[in-house]
Amino acid sequence: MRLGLVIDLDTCVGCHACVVSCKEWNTSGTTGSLSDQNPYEKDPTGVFFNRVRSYETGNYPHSKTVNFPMSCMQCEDAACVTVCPTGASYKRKSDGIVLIDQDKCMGCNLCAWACPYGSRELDRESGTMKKCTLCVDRIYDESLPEIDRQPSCVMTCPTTARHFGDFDDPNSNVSKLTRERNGNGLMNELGYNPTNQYLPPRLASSITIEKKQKSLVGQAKDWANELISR
Amino acid sequence: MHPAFSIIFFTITSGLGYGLLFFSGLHVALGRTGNIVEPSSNPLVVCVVIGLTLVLLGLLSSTLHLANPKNAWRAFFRFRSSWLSREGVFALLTFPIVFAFIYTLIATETSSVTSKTTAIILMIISLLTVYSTGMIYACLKTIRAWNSPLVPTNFMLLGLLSGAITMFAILSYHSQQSELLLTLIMGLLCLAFITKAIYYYFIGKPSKLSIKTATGLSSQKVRLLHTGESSKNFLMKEFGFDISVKKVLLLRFCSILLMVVVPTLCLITQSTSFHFILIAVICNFLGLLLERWLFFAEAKHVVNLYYGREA
Repeated sequence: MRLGLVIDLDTCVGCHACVVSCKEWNTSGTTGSLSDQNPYEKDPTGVFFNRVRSYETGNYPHSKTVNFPMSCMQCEDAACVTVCPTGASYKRKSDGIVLIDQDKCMGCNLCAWACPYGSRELDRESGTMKKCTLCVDRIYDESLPEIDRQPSCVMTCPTTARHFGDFDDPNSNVSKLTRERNGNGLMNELGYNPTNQYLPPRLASSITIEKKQKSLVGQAKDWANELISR
Repeated sequence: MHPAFSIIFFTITSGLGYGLLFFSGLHVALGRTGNIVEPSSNPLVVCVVIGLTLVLLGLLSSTLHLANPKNAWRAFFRFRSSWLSREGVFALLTFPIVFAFIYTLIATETSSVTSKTTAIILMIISLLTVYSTGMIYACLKTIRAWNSPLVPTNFMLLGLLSGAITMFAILSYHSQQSELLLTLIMGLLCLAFITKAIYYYFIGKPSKLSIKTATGLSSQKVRLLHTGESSKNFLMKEFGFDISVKKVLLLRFCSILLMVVVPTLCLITQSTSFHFILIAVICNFLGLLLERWLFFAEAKHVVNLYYGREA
């Protein structure tokens, strides 16, 4: 099994609901709490497993806003696991989820340095590294109805821009979506083989701008105005 | 990268300490031990003790960087995959080897096979440890300025250089002069300067990575609209260190001046005067501090690309 996410950049509206829901679930989850520093003061900061940044692509009239959620990519060749000196970071053979044993981590930051996606953040309060667990304490919970056994971010997304599934199964929803929509991993050139896939924004037809032909009087007025302004 | 003083101090002092241990080993391996009857006044013993103290200081300083130091003892258990773990294991192995080295110096014949073998083992472990320190940084593909064999080479050369100059100072304090060591220092000064120049050329080349390759968006133009946060997060604090080109060039010049030029001038003109040698040692150390600070400050992590910055 190779569990991971597919993120649809075409439908994400950048509402940050996944960010909030992730924090809410995980702060009371197995790696919780996710501490905050100065939450109600001038420079609030804290641990998040999932962050959304927004980009602008192209030039008007072909411009588009692309909201870009990023969490752990559950890499096949995870450098964060290789560099870890204590063995706190590990990748599960059974489902490919990369996890951190909070009892072993010494907080040296090296795994955060090795991660190109910024998926690992140091918790200043516990002194340990924390990261997305793909809601491992939720997806296997048999006390939940089967439809709820998905990561919190996927469940909460109002535009279903996030999909969860097994990439090893060619008929799973995530494999099909990746195939049909030309999904790709981020920064493949580094060779970490990220599991999560991003579906590129669809090409939208641009807004057509019609130039209305002005009347003869209007043209004369424009010409006169231009002459005066010089 | 955010230049953390604890790591800068660690890499320099441990480099200097291992340099001292390396040259102490070389001294014995070549059969130049001097008077061992009184260990306290023997410059070689002084070198080994100072070297070991510096190594220990460096290791202690490196633990200051840890956010959860109570788990530091676990860092020795991933020797097979992690360079940080390898560094820790080699650093720990140094201690019994150094004690064996001192013991053979005092207990056995100065030119015996045992003492020479221990000396060679000490030299190898010293180099291996400094190499591993360099590889902690060089194995990170996410930081272009570090992901190069030039980094461990540079760490080893600078460690050996500072160790050699310090040893030369200790020997001259005990009114001993080693022509061979002086020649080696001159060679190391040249080599260190050349590799550092090649390194600066290497990191000056434009990056192939951009916000477009990072996001995978194929559009002509991609720019950051909003980070989604109202203040700095962990990633921005850790990786978003900024320094102007003007400042970098000035600091590079100062570091080379202090690290290479001043010691060269001191040792060429006044190699018999202890005061000038002491100036060389101090300037070299200050230059190293600047050099290592720049090593961190100039390195740009690829996460910066997602924040619309260079990497």
